[in-house]
Amino acid sequence: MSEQRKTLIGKRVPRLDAHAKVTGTARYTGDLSLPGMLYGVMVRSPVAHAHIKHIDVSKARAFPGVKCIITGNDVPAIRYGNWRLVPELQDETVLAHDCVRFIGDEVAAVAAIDEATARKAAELIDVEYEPLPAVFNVDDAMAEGAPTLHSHRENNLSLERKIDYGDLEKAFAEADYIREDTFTTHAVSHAYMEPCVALAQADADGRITLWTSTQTPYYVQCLLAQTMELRENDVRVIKPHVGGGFGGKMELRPWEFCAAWMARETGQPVKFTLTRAEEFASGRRRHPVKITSKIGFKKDGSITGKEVIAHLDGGAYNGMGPTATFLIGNFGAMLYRVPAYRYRGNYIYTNNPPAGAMRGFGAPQALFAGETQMNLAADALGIDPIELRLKNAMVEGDKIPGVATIGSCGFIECLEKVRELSNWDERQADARPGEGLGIACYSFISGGVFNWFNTQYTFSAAEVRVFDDGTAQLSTLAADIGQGSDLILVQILAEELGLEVSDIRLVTGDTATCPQSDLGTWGSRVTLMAGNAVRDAAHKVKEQLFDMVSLKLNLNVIHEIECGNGHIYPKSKPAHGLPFGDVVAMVQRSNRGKPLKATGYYTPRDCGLVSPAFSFGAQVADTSVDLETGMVQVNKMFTVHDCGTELNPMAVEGQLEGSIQMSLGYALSEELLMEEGKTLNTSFLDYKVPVAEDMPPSVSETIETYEETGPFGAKEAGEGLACPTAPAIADAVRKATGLCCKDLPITSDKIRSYLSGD
Amino acid sequence: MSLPEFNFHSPSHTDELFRLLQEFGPSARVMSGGTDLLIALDGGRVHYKHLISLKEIAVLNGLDYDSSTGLTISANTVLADVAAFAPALEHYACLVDSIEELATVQVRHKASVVGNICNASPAADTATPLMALGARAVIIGPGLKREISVEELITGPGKTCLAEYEIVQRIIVPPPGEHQRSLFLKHSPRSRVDIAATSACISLCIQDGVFAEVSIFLGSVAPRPMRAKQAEAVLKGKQPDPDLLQRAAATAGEECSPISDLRASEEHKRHMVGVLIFRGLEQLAVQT
Amino acid sequence: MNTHVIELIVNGDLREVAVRPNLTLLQLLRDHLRLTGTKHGCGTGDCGACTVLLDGRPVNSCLTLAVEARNRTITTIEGISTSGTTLHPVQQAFVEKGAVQCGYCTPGMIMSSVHLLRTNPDPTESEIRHAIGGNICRCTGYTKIIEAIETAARAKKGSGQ
Ligand code: FES
Ligand code: FES
Repeated sequence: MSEQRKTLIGKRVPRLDAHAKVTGTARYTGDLSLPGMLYGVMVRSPVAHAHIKHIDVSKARAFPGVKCIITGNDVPAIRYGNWRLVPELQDETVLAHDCVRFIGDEVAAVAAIDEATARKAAELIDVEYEPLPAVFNVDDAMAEGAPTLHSHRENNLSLERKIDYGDLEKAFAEADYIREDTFTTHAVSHAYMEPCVALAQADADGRITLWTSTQTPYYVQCLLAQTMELRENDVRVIKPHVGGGFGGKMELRPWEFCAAWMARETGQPVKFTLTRAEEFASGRRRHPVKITSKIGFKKDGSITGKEVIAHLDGGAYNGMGPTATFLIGNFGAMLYRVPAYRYRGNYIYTNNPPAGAMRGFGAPQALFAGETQMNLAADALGIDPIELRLKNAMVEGDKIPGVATIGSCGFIECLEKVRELSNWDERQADARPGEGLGIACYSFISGGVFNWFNTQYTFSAAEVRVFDDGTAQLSTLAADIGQGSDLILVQILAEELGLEVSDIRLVTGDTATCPQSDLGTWGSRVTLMAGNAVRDAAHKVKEQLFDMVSLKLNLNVIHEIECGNGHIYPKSKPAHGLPFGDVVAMVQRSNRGKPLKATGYYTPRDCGLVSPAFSFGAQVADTSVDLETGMVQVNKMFTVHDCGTELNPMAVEGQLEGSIQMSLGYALSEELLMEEGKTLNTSFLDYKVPVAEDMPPSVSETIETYEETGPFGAKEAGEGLACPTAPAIADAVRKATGLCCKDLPITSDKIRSYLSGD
Repeated sequence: MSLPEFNFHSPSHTDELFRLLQEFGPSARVMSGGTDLLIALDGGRVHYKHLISLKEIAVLNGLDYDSSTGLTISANTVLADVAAFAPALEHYACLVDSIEELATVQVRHKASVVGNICNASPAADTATPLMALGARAVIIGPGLKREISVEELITGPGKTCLAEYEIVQRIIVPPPGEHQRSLFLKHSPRSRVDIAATSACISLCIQDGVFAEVSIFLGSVAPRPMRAKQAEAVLKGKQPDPDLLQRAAATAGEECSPISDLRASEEHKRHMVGVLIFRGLEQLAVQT
Repeated sequence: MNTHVIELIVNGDLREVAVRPNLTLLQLLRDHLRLTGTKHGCGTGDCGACTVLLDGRPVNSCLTLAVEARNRTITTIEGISTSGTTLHPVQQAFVEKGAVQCGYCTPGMIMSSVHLLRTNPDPTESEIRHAIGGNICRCTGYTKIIEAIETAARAKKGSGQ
């Protein structure tokens, strides 16, 4: 073997499932059907807050074709939620007991021979509601004498998260310039293209198999077992291809439970498919937040201290809210060195549909506030906003006391590069009405380290088997929901073993066959955590392979051994290698036939409260505003980000480009319009996600750093980018029009009425 | 989508069509592309026991142009065909523009122009250009045939002056006058591909330096596409100058009667009407 | 409801099916003919995931009644490549250019693109954006989809197809 060792790191390898997806053969949950399958529909509350007096299902039950109906009275009243570590935060039951708390709250479920029958029967279920007073925003919810949603939480304050370090009083006293601003952000939908679907089957022993559109099969397994009072091992969750999640599919959902329960009850498979209107009307959404931020600076621009107070409108239940509440605090003081910081995060119950995790997980809200405020402060201080950021920028090794230590960090380089790319300095000098260049930055996590789910397993696991034909199998529960993590994990394994991507078979998405466990897809954790587990497994396998090569080649112990190009060889003598498969065969023979395999694990330990690694980036929006109509046109986006090593640039670009779409919508066009707890826009006709013609051209560059904690130096890419777009556009709009928009979204209506002085 | 139950009929002659319409009365509805109708049925906003497709009726097909009659659009002619029809592009640019901005490629290949008009949505994008261009609808029924202007056809939101047993056989858009200029404008506050919050079509002709003929129609700012008569009056017989155009635009903003909805506030729509009309007039004045 | 027995050609095969009037073409394809490549994203004509070609025209199969397809020709994502093993140039370009992420919009997006290139073999970037305006993608930001369509157009030109 004489050619150079081939590497897969940094290669534009196409996705593993692309062929299946372009031919329509990739199977999503909705594409599956089983013999004798019944169709389920949810019955939802039409009122925002009420006591359930009585439910009469007799007419529905008598309807021909109906096979099963359940209400809260028929199933255990077990409270569940992802925050198993703090049981009192588990505040939801799969079907309402006594009380409904939002429009869309699940009250009952019907399974019938077809969907039309199930829908008709659902309409025949008579629920008698005794209306209760309701609250629809955080101020009303916290007011004296406000109706309470959950009896154990007075004032509807579900929880409070605090972060404190440094002497804030002193910091503000020493500041030359202090400003305080209040920002509000709105509810938006994940709008993943595949609506939620779940299909369940029960075997004769009552064991459940559930196929579901989820990003966290393991959570679903545990929580389904808990709510059905089954043993965890009696529940098997299978994740087929998933049509996007973005945080919206990371909890146990009532229809998953109902499918399983009714399948056991009837002995027939049951499938639930949500309508798009249900998704918009009662699906999880990004938390609307009110953020008051106070920040002090010295004359030279250095930050002395910062205080952030956030009130999250959580809707009727906690969901992933406790995590978002903490992360808003965390991202309130990221990016810059803040010597003294106080954060108070309040998670408030209201009778709106519950919010949940969504791309960025609190960071988009925190950074809309923080970055907009930085831009305002820069103007007031007379310092260029990029200069002000450079002055305060975090660098590698910075510590946030008790919270995190910053590992690799290319933030300064990102700022400098985006300044150059966007022609920032020249454009600042040449300001014109109706045009503006705005900037904002972000930092994001590579997975969370806090065990709120209280898992008894490692955070990630991967099993690697190698075969004497020179191939391997990777088995992991890490969940690809479209982001392409399957390919990245296979790429990592192929790189480790010196094989081709096509030499590796992937087994994934099944709690019964994949190693325990993996926490799933959220918080950009998969590449780093599952990637490390894959490497761990690979190293264990390689150890045995290397021992064998050492023996066979009679190597001096000082030789390094390496895998590459389908061979295993001493690093210094690449030509003297043995074919990979031959070595596997030898190891196997020496073990008298036992297959060669190993399981690798990863759990982040002792790395603070947030994440093992942080990515950074800066974005500039070149924007024009039509001063008569208020229409905002983003002409171009400039993005520079530090995602550690780019394992697959094509995948990284895809994440970045996709995040601009979602964030452009967040900034300008997307908003769940609410009236008394009712979501008014429940179709893509009225909920405007950007289409191809809405998208600005964009240029991007990557600052490569090497993240020690990540596989081959990689860390998060693409989720954090959900953050800077809205504040960058807001900054550009301010420069173009004078309007400083502190409440999202930035609509033409708001701009126009500002300009016409209304 | 889970549609309610209905019977489907697909007559191949108008005689059979009229027999069915008379037999079923208000429980029947004709459809060509059906794109609006199926959504309304699914949402429970309308109820029909019978859907009668026009697609198999040959005399309801066809798209023609000749310089004396103008453009003939039949009941089954889909939006995309009109947009791709060379004479339409040449002589009725505002109509083609309104189609290109309407819904999506997929809908434009299924939905008919006549259906877009007969559903009488205040936001029906083809309505304002057809009205501004003076289009007429040929209406047929059992043993009858009459012709009215498209403007008269639409009487309110979702309402037309068609009797239960009548259909629009075709729409005829007269040939444009020698100096006639027209354009379509639309403002959707949230996205390029969107239902209009406000739209307008202006057709005019400037002769001897003054506005000789002007017709201005506004969409989505009244229960039905409306004619901005007062704005037209401001312009007629006058020389185009910025002040005049501004006054006409302001008048149009005042005379319309929009309501606040999910798409935009009343205030914003009024303002937008003014902006659209000013820009449209300015552009047309320069062209001539 | 009057059930109709209809004949139609789906991906080149003549099919005879009995359909109720309120069955959509999307339901016919997915639930009855088990052609599940065509996706359901909204059911109201707004997302384009269900796009198929009806007599060569792109339509939302969720807004089309199955009975309307009587004696007509339907092409779905399963039917656009000429042989079982090779990909259509548009499919090939989607794979190579990374235009696929979750893949849920992909079949509809490809059907719209195939139609575009049939009617306009050399589209400009803005024509491409306009032509896929009825197809929502939540993952890719459309950039790589547009690149893929441009690549497919070049490939088709190159091969004289
Ligand atoms: S499913 Fe037909 S357009 Fe969305
Ligand atoms: S790839 Fe996921 S919606 Fe387009």
